Amino acid sequence: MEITDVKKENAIIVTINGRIDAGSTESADKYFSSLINENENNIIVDCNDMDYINSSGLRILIMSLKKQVAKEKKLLLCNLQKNIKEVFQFSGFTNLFNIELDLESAIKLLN
Amino acid sequence: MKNKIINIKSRTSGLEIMNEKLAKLAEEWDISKDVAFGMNLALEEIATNIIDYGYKGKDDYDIVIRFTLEKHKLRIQIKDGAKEFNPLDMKTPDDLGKPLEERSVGGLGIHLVKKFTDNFSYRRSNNKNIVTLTKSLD
Repeated sequence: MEITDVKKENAIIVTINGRIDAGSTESADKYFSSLINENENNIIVDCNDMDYINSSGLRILIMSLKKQVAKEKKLLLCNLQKNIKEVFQFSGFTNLFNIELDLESAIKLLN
Repeated sequence: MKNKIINIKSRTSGLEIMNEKLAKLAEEWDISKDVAFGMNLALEEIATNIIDYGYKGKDDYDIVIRFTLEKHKLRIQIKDGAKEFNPLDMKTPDDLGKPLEERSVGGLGIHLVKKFTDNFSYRRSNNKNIVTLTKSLD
């Protein structure tokens, strides 16, 4: 797994590449914790190249969402692959997260 | 019918080896990306539970995983020597439809195992815990 981020005017865009699995949840957890602790921005997570997520990964996302909401900031997801979308549906996440089709509409939503 | 048996240690590196083996097998056995995805998720949840709750985080115990390709299904059997532990007894979330404030952050694992498999069973035999997962390939 590789995570990169870039700051745009109204949000930090986080790109996840690869798998959030047993081998990478610890670093994903650390990454999101410090990102949210050190920033007061909206966050967009681009999942276009995220191939897999386990329940620990889901836990990281829901914790991040709770922290963002507490700061009155947004956490948006976009570009979910089919299998990932299914995991989100089974987990009841589609009601909790703002999930946009692509990055462009996620950015637009924040404007 | 084809079988592949692997033996991993009860630690993160063991889970990584397991994930790699499953990806390789899926290729060898021509298993679809969707089935491989769901079975990987289910297997990872079961093995993680064994390590966290069965072996209580001790990292030098064995987990034996048998992959079986049958005519129309993939079967994965996960065997461990920890004390009796039935993952089907674990609480599954009752807050899935609830708003964010009322949602707990964890507990989704076993729920996802049920969603991504056709059959999920547990038995205790010869002081071993045996979990079997199956998924249709049709």
